Amino acid sequence: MDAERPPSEPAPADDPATDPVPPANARPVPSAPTDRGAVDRGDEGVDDEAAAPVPAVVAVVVARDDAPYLEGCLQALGASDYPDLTVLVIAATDAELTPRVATALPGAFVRSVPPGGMAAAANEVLGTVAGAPFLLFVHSDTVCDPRAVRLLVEEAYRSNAAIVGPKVVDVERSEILREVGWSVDRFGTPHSEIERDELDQEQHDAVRDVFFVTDVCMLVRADLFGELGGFDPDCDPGARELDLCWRARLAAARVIVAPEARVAHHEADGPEEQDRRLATRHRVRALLTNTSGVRLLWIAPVAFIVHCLEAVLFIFRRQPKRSGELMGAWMWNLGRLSSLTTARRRTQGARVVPDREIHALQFRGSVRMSAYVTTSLHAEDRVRTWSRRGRTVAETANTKFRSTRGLVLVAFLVLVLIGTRDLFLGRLATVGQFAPWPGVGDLLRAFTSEWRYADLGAHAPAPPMLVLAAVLRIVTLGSGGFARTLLVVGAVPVGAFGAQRVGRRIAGPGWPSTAVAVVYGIVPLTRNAVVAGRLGALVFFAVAPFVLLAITQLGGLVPSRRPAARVAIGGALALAVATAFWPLAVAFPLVVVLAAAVAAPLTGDSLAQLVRIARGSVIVVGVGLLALFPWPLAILGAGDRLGALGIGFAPIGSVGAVARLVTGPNGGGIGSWAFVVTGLAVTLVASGDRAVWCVRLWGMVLVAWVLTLLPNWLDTASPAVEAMLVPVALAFALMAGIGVATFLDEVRRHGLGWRQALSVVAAVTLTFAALGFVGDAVGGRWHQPTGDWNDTLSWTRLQQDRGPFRILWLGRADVVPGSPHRLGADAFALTNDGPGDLVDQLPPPGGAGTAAITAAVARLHAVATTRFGGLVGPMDVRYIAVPARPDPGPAAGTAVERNLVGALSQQLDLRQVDVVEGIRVYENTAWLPAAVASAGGSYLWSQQYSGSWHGERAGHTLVHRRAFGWTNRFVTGSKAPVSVAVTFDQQWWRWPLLLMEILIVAGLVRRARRRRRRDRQARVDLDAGPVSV
Amino acid sequence: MSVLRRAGFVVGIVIALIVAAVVTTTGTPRDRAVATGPRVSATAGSSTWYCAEGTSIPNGRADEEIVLGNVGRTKSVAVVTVFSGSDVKPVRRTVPVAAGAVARVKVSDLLAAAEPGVLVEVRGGPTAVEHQIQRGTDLALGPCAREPVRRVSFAGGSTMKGAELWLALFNPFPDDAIVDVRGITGDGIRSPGVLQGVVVPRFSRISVPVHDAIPRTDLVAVEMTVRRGRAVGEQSLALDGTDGRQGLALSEGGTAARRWAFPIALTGSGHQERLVLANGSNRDVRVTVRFALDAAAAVEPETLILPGTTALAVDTSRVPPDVGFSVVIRADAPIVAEMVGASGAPQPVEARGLASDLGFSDGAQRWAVVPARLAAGSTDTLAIVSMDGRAHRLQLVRTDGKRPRVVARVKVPASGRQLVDLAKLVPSVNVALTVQADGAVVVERESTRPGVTRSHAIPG
Repeated sequence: MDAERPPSEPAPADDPATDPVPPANARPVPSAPTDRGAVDRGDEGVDDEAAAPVPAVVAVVVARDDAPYLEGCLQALGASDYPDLTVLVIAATDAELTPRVATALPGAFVRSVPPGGMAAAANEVLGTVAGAPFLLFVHSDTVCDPRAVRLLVEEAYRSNAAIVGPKVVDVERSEILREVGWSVDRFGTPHSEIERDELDQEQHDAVRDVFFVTDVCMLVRADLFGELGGFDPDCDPGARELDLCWRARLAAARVIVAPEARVAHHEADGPEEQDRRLATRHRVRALLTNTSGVRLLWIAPVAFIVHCLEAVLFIFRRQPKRSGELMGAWMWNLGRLSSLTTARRRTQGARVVPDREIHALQFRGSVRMSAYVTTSLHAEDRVRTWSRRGRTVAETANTKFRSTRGLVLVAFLVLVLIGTRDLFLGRLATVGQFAPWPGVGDLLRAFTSEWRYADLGAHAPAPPMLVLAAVLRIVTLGSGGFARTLLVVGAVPVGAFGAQRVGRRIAGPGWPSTAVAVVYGIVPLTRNAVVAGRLGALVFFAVAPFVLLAITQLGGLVPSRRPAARVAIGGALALAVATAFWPLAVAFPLVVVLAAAVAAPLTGDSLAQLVRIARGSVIVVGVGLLALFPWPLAILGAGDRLGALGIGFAPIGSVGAVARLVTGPNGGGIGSWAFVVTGLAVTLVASGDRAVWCVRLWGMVLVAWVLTLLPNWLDTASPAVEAMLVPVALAFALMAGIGVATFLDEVRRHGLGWRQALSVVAAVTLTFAALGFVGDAVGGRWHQPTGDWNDTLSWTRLQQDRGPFRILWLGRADVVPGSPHRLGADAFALTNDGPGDLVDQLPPPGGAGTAAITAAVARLHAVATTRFGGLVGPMDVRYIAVPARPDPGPAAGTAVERNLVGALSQQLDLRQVDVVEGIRVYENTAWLPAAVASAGGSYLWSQQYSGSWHGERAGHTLVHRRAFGWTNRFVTGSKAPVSVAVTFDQQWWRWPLLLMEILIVAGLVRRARRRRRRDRQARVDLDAGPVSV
Repeated sequence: MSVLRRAGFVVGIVIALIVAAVVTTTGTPRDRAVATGPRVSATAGSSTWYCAEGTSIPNGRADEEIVLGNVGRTKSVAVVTVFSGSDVKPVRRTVPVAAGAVARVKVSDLLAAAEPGVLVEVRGGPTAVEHQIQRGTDLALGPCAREPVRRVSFAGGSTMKGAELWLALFNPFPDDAIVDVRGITGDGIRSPGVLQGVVVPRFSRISVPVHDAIPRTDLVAVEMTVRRGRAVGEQSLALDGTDGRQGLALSEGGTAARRWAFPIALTGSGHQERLVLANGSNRDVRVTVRFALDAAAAVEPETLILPGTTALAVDTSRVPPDVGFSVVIRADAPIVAEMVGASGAPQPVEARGLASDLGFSDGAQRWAVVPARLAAGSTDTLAIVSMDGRAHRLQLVRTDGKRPRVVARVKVPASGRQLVDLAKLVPSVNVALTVQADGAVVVERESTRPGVTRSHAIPG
């Protein structure tokens, strides 16, 4: 057993080192425990079992470097209860191990190989071991439980598995789990379900399929190992087991973990085993080797992009080394294309299982943030870091939240989560402007296109909303639904946080600012915005406090510890984000100025003070618009500018609803008067500077109220009411905070009087409002519909085989999805190639095309045509949808729908399509399929006319004409359908503008960050609190 | 200003503003409904008309002719399209109609078909479209429908021996329609299986022989319901004289209402009237029938109970013979009422025939009479009744010249009717007239020689 020979030297046939397990050792395989034969043996079972032949197992212990725990490893194997276990030590080291092996386990074989990688050493068994059905790869620092080998073999037979791994625990603390098999995401990054230092409470003790197990202890069917050619040395270290198991999977072999078998691991692997750079390279290699050719076409670019984004994030996190590792991994593999191709040929040649079955075993596309954290950002390090940081934060938070104030904030956040649980666990209905978000590529393509395809098209820059959505989608690793829900629900806590920040300055820190945050968070506006699908209103709600804080700081109304430039840039960027989703948000600073001016006679604000506020507002607006450049210029185009600004909804006429901030099903009841009552009560109770602030805030309330009600008085279209009332909500929340501050500072110190009574009234009414918030949370989705038309009409997306088309939505503005255009009591909207997505939102004014479709819809309303389909056919309108409500369900319909349906039922070229209750859908028989549009001597290109459209057929430029007064016609001269290539000549113009846009935003961010660094050096804490005016 | 006064000032302003706004502002967004209905467009624009009944083959049951009357001051252009089945390409003809003039198009000139459905799309001046069907010596004239409706009722049908009751269903739309038909009889509802789920293929017209499905029934008020798709229905009744009445009547149908007016009725000297009421609901309806005689005599109103799901004929025998009269009906629930008049011997042969007309349920100030004269030598009479119980002034206007020309000014009594003899006022045949009143009136025409026909003037 002490035989040892250099590997280059031919070994004699009888040398146990070269043929340690002769074929004669391969005894018949025992039946599995569940095998009928074994059970039928009855009383003979026990004796027979003891005497039954077992498959031979060769334990391959690869010893490298000093192998400090080798003895323990061998002794544990020697203590194994498996009757036919042979131990082979591969000594891949210069150290002399034979004496140690002989001492620890005299029966073990030793084979010396040159020092090198684990894979190469382990592969030695390919030529040296024969006849044994199983190989057990064991690290030299692994201590196997005596039952482990037997349990692994038994499970291999029971589950018909080719590779089986045990549960790996810590040596010192056997209750700590180290491994229970590994999963992998689509980009080849391993993922373990167990957390760092997770306690073993048998929670992972089920036998299950895993993507791979490590060779800390790995039982492999010897024939499979031979067929696969062993480990791939080019994937070693870091991915040899992943690669082996992946290839085994491709060969239709099962890989499982049998947690009943336990081994302990010292984790004393050599430094190269922990080399993250090598591991990253080899995982990419495994990915590129084992993915099928077709799937590789998209997996490889996507993986590269994901890794690029991770690299960018690491740079931002000041971890350039890790960023370099990621990029270096791809460069390293690109430099070994030849080796990669050979490995691919070998792997794909042995493939039995298609990739779609393999993908079912992989971590699905990183659809959740948690997946992002635990997979693509290399969970082990991050979790460790986060765990450490988390403990610190938790300790700090624990101290803070033990206070009543903290508990109130926690309760508020918990209620938000409870109230929106169904939106996260279920789905956010795509009502109103909650349109689905297309893929990142589509969003970026739409954003970088010089031509906007929304509505009937226009030569206008795309809204930055698209790129913000793309970024959010990237952050959530492609999960558009999750990103959308995050944006919608996150608006409430973010807004409350902002309100708390501005509340600290205006009302004071502590309880007052907490009250501001909570009251701002519980106003029913946001819940009703979620019901109605007002995405812009929610984003505006989230950032409005930050903008107000910036303006008040720039105007000198509250102190600032930051330089003015940084304050201005911060406020402007916040305003830019809100404006990107709701264009009218840009007017918010002007509302603040107007409010200050209205209140000035009572507040005593001087003209100079007003000028300062106005100057601050102008700066914020100006820089905000600059950050959005050149999109704001799109509004200047001809057409429906009001629609482009989001002014397309029915005006609200109920003063009560406006005063109570109740614009939907949430927040009804007596509690909704709480905000007005509190505002009035606080104004009467407050004194001094606080009273002045109350008056200013009432100025903001009145201005916002008037602006909200103005469209009804003028009988015109209105912006989203929920957004218009955000300043009111913010003002009431701040007044509530001022009320709390007043009560704490002054009122409670005096005896019982009218001020105390008013304070009690305000507190009681606010309690009612809070109860309303709690009540709305019960349902779990704030009364948001569970269905939507996007889902119902999803089948229309499959109708593109005959050419591009549009859906014309008609009806009330509150049920028409997307960005509606107002026409009388009705509204209409257009979506492209289906029920619409984010790209169709915020269409530019639209010029002659919008005028044409507005005229057509007006004719329909007046029943001045029975060929409406013919009117909108050239606009590619194939379907006309008339929803009576925002989601499927029974609906009586209002006069608007009845009149529309009456008019549509008279149309001779519309065919009604049966769908669900709550919507009527008509198919336009006058719609021109692509084949027809390109026949008859001309090709109709149903985009708004522009001289920059260019048509080519067979390399020849076609004559371009205006058709129907608004669209494009290319003269083909062919009666038969022809193929025409249409391009927009001015696309090149987009790139410099885009570069300018990037430079502007980057410049602003850089300037703000530079200020921040300087500021850190010389920060002077100012007392937070109300400032003397 | 002290803090308290300042705060009080603000609070006062806010409360005052809220109260003022609540008082002065309505609580709900305003709906601005757009009126739709079978009217002549008062302004230049476009209108579409659906003419369901009629045939265009030799010896068909009802030879059809389209009559287009332009009551405006600008010319119009009509595209007449004849559909004869889903698989047959429709035939079109463009017909210009001068201001104030009437144009006629025989359907057989466009297409010879047993089941022609005619669609007329008009652009330009306000133009009314009627159609005229003829069988033997009798003819019937009636306005074409302006829109498909979900439910249409007819009251004056009969399927006794010698009667043919046809329901023409026209679907010029691109989707198939499914129609259910039932008959309200004196004995209750009849819903034969053959009349349920009648498929009207797209771009086609079909005829349903109600007399085969509900045979030998004196009173059959047909009710047609479109279950799916869109369709236009029209009914024709042909009697061969077996029950003493002979001729052809056309009815465009209508929807149930609580009030009905019939400006034209006459009994005696070969004239007989049958006023049929049909109640399609399950509840009994109390009906009051008032007769307004042209003579000084008066007839007591008749009050009766119309049982649910039943049709009955009102007894008009109390009206003195040879005295013209009008009828106004009021019911406490919606019903359908139709008058079927017949003229026989001793009237001259060319003045014999059958005429039916659904009553008027609403009045209007403006009516189109197209054509003013049915034919050269015909007797054309307008009967006008006030619908609001007040006397009104009205004028008849021709627009075929350079300027609109008032051809007559008449007064309509608060109760009773005003007759206008068009033969005296309008010598030429192809002229359209407009009746313009200062209040809500209804206008019905009766024409004889050849045959007898009654029809609504067209509001708008």
